[in-house]
Amino acid sequence: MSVKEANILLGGPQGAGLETTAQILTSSLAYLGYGVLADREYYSNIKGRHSYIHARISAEMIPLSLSYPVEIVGAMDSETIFTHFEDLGDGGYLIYDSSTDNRTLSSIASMEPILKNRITERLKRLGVEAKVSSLVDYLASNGRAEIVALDFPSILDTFKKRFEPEPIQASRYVSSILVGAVCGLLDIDEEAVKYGVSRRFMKKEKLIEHNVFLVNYVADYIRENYGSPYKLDNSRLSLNEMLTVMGNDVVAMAKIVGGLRYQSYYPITPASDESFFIEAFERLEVDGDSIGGIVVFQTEDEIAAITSAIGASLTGARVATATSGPGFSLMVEGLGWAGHSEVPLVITYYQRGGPSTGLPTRGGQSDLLFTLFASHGEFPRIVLASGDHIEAFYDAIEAMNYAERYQLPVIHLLDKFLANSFITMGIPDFSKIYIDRGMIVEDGEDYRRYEFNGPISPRANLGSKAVMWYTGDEHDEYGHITEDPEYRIKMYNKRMEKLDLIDKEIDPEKRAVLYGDFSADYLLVGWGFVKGVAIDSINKLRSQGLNGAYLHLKMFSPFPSSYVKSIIGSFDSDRVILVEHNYLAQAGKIVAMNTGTIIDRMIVKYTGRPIYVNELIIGIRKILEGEMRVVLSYGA
Amino acid sequence: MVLKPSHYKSNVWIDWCPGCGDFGITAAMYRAFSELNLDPAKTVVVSGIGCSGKTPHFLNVNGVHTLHGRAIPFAVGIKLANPELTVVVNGGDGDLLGIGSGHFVAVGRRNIDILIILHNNGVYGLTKGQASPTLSKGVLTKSLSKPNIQDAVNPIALALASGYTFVARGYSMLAEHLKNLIIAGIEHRGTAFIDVLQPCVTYNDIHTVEFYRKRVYNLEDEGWSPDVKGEEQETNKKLLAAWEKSLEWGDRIPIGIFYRNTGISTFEDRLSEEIPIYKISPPSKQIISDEKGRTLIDREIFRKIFRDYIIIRKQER
Amino acid sequence: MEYVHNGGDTCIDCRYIELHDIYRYMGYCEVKYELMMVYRTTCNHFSPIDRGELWETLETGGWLYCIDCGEVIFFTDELKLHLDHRVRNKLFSDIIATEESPAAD
Repeated sequence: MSVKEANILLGGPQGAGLETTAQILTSSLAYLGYGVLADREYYSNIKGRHSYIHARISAEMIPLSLSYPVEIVGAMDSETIFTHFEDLGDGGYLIYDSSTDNRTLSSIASMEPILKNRITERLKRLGVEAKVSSLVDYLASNGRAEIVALDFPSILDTFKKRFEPEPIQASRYVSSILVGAVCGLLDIDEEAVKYGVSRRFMKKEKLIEHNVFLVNYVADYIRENYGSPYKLDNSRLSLNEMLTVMGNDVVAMAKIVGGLRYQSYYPITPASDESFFIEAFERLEVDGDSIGGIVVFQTEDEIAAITSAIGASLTGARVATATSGPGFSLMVEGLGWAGHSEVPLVITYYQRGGPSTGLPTRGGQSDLLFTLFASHGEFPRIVLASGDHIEAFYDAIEAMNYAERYQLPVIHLLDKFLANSFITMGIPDFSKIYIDRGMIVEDGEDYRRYEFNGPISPRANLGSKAVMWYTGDEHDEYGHITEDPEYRIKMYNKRMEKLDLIDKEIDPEKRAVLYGDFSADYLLVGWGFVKGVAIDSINKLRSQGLNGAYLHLKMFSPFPSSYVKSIIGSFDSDRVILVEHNYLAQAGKIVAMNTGTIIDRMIVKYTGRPIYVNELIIGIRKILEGEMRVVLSYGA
Repeated sequence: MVLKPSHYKSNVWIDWCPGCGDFGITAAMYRAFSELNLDPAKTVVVSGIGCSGKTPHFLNVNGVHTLHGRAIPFAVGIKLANPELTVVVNGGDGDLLGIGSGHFVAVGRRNIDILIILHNNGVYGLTKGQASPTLSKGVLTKSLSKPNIQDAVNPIALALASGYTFVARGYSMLAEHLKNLIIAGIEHRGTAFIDVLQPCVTYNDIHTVEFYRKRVYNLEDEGWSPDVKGEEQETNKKLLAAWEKSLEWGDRIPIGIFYRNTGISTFEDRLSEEIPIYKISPPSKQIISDEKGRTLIDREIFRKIFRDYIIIRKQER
Repeated sequence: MEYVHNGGDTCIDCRYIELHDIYRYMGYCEVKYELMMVYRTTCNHFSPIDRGELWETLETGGWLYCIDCGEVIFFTDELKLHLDHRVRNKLFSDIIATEESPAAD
């Protein structure tokens, strides 16, 4: 017997090997051709608090979304068992360290008291003592779960008899026990294990040898004692090569491919990983030759990040900065200067849970209105949001093209869900990629930076033969200050008319994408990371006889108003449902503002955790049965 | 061809108050740019907000009039993306030492090769003469309702502490002297800072032309030697002496070069060590696509660069 | 360059007068400590301004100001254009701007 897909959850203390576990498993699975999507959930903490990885593995497709319950919960510590025992589906497998049997819930210091109380209450209702062994017995005796009890210290002792473990790598060995157990349950072969471990520990032969042994040792034990209940079907994916990347990585790769030459940033979660990635490739070396060089500049704050990027852009470099909500808050004045002065600039914006510091390591989509209206005065901007890793790749390049073609700031909206989730995906299609630098001139004779030449004036760079002026004040064609009222109208119009030009030039069907058709029984409307879960939920409901469609909003400024209006207008208003990761259903406000159509049914989630298929399906049914607003909350 | 000072004057009417201290700074810039024969197309003057913010419009070189306090990071971006440009920042005392003080400190740590000119008149002129960060406690200028209750920051000492490798002070009514400082500041490789004392004829009735005329003296005339070449002990000695000198204020106010260290690498040097092609081909100069708009990185190059992220599927036998 | 003095001996050309920076018909007399309507008045302290001396200050100070044109003079070449004008390096500034100029930035 074998399965088409498996959902797993692995938990443990932050900074103690969980990440290694996920990376080895992802590599091994990709090597066998499986599609993987893995979300990392973690606290704003360096070491010691509870974190977990929630993944879907598929033999048929690159997974788009995550769902509960899972078939396997792998626990590196007792906190994971208490936190996630109800995430495990009936008949699922709990892998845990039996040496922790005597741990009580109350003794787990790292668990937040609020959660501890909630679990205590829950266990009380179930009549289970708040102790690992009791909880495990309860799960086993009810036939709810199969228990894979592994005595971690004994396994490590056995290992120690053969090898000399490296003390500074101690946590890695614990990871390998968990990897081994999962490999046994999924029946991942030794070659794939070796591949995954070798990739993770790149050329550190001793570590590779140790961990390959450990993984296989545990996997063999599992196969012998439990069989391989989730042996995966052979992959039917047609990809021969796969990228294993996080959202941050994908965007960084896209920027490198798209010709980024200057990126400034100030450290912030969940955006900095992108800048680190680019910096690692700053020399752009291919076979020992450098084909370019990228300056990645860590500034003193986000104000300097955006303003130095603007400065670099004025010289003709392709530039971007990457940040999250608190950083963007500081960038707002600079954003206005760029819009007013017609500077090409990309701001890659990874949303996290706000307001204020909010949930720094959790996701959210509550900054849409902010990005659209940030900074005083009126100026044209493009706001573009990506729904998955593949979209993010192409959008990151398009964002830079748009910025230069239209000489304005482009805000590329992403979120933590995408930034920090691993995926296996194909290598991008290079025939779809191009570079557009817009209208550039070199000659310097009587150059006028803001020549009245339609909305776009030819752009000369600082350092070319031209001499030019820029100012944040209203200006004349040369860039000198003017307060003349009639001139003001001309220059103001020239700037604002860019929005009409863009609206004309960029296909509305690229700015809003309909999945499904007009004959559907209901329409979900969403954006960003909602895409995957919306499409998967629709598919799931279709198999239950409900035919749905999903309208994926990608560009919010300029908004594809008539196209969106025509789609929404063809559904009964009580069959149109907003799905968003915020309280207000912000995209709905933008739809209303631009189309006059008010969508008053919504499914929202603002816990900082992704929307899962299981809960969205319930939400959709509730709305179709007449509820106006459903607030989702699944996930630890 | 040598460009005369007048070539660097733009045709924009100068709308500073008649007799403004900014006149002397602008005059010194025209002269210095001419003596250095700077190519206007390869020179960028970056400013913030306020009266000093208008400076670039009066110069016939590239001008970037930015946001309050942010002239330095704009200038840093310009310089790092195109290091062949001569970049000069003009900022007021509120601009550089109040709202923009974080940038003022940070740029010193990097030693980026730019010159920063502080228009130091003790007041916020264009917003009606509020006390600026360089106005001493207890001083009552024209438009204050009561004596200033905030202490003043010492621009010279702050620059020294922040790592600037060229620290000087000029006086706007002595344009010829200031011109020489500007030339030395531009020629210096590294972050250069000139604190320019200037009267504000409208709002500062304390630090007037008469006030300074009686007090300023030239460090050079008293045998002051500002130079050091990076050696640690010498540097520390020189820094300490310069620091002590920076405290001198009252009956005698020193102008001239306080400190000049030619032995510290610039940020551009440091970047070149990381990215060897940076010197020949900085971000602004790089070609990023072919004529048809195709990326330099094609599928094959992509596979090579990012090989660590690519997994080749197990081949079925 | 030759200086053409076409004025008479009214206060406007007296070295003891600081001309008002906006209204050139007014000036402050450093001797009498009073405001003068400089076109019409004169007195026995009158001493003509030494243009040559004034122009020399252009070299060290960097600028002169032409009250007739409302323009800064930075270069000796430019003086040619202001031969008949009242050019100064020191001006009389009253307190009105302090009181009534709006905050402007």
